[in-house]
Amino acid sequence: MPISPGYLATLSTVVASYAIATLGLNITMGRAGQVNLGQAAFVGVGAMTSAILATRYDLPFWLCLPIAALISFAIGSLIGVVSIRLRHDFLAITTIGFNFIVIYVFLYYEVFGASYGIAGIPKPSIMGFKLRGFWYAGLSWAILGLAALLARYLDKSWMGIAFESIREDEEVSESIGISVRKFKILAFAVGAMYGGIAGSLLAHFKGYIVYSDFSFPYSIMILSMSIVGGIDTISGAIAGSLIVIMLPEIFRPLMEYRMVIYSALIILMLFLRPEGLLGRRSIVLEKVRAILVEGTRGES
Amino acid sequence: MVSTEALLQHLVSGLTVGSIYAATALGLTIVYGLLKVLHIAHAAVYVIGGYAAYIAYTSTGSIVLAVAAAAVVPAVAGVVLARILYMPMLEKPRHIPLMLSIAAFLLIEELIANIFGHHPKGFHIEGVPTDPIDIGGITIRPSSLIVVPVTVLATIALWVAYNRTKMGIASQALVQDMEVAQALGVNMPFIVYVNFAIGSILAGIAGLLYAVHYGSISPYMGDVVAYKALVVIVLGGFGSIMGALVGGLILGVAEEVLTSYLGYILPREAYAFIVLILLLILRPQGLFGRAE
Repeated sequence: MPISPGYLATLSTVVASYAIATLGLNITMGRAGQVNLGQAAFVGVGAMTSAILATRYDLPFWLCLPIAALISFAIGSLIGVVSIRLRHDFLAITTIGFNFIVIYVFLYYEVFGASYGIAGIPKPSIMGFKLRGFWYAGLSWAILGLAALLARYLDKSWMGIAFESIREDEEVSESIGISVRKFKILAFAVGAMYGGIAGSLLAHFKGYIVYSDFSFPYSIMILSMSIVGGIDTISGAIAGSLIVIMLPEIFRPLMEYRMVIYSALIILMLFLRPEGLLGRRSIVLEKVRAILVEGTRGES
Repeated sequence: MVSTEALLQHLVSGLTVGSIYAATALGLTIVYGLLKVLHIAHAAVYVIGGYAAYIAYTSTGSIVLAVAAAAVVPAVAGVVLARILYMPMLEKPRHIPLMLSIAAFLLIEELIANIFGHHPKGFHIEGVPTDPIDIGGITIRPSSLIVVPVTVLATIALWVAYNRTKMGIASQALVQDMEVAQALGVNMPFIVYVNFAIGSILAGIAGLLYAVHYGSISPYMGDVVAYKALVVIVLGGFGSIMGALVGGLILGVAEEVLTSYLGYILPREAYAFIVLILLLILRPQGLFGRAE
């Protein structure tokens, strides 16, 4: 397997970007318990926003990214509003439907590049210095770092507690004064915003995007990252993205079977480790915790 | 602008496509009634049916064997899926088996694509005429005359089996209350597998009908059906057999008509999903169902 610096830079950028998208899914689904099987659609919204702003209006990356985040946040809240009336499997198929509709809109309207896609999306630059290769990889990991910090901050705030509460029991949450509506909308909006940021990063990195980059199988890929890594933790999102991106790269002959691997991973994990490798209730962490607790408590 | 002839033409093509939707949705609706699982992998069973028939037909040239393969192989596949994916997950939140089902669907679809090739395969059955028939200005493809009646007959047969046989009554008892029915001696796993087998046979036959109508099969022919069958069972009301038939036909005709009169707003496939989301929000009990 050839390992060139360019290849490493590409891989690490892709891993970081998808880790951000997965982090968003972990907030919506893992923390707040709102099933979202259409995360790729939000990645697409962010990517298209960024691409259009950069190629048609010549806006710099530093403006495109926040606007992409805002637009995805807005679209995410729309889905959040819809989610108020739906639960579990009905919500799940609604998000699938949303993913399909978004793809058809991208495919059907010239603004989104229709079937040709949008090319010539510029790389960001700082005072004339173009960020490419490892510089761009560094930038995406820095943004992942910021995204993780924000996720941690939100999780420790009132919002994190409310999310956990509506995940466990909506009626009880409502009765103790948590606005289930507000937090369901927020859960989708924040998760979508992360998706949008990931999309913007990917768009400026690849320079060319087309509607099919955000189709439903990509949602399943992001889902497999979440389920493999751990559905409710930050470390889980990063580990999941790393594992899922690297697997077909390490085993090159399996490239053709990528979707097979992702789906098999989902099935295996749901049966064997539903909390993921690094989820909050994961066996790996429990073992570590058990050893530490044993150590301090003695033989009690 | 809307001529009667054009409308009738849309009706004929819509009913044909709608029949294929309905045939795949029948299995989905009885399974949903029993296990409350959205069995997306049913679409994989449909693809398996198409390929089983293709292999049987190309290697033996016998139509009877093709039909048998389109029934037996999917039936086995459906029961295996139920045993592996759903039975151990009955106590879990309903989105867990749904995710399993989607993953299984993509897994089987990609395996078929990798084994038999990503491109569609021509599949013409000899003896089925392909020249369109002209009746009063409306062109009807002979395949429509096979697809629609087969689906309608299959639906009626299923409905009768469901309401008149012991097995059907037992299934209905399980739908009503799984625990009480089991306490009264209904063998739950067995009835579930019989339902999966019957639903999967219908999906396999639908796969064959697809081949008859389009003259080809493709590993990705399940993509559209996988999620559209959901629209159909939401339209017809979850668990209703006649609802699935009517829902499928309505969806087929509505798509045909909407695409020809509003075709420039969105592509054909998008309408189904918009209808799905609107229905789930506004009338989750289906068009004909009563609110619980």
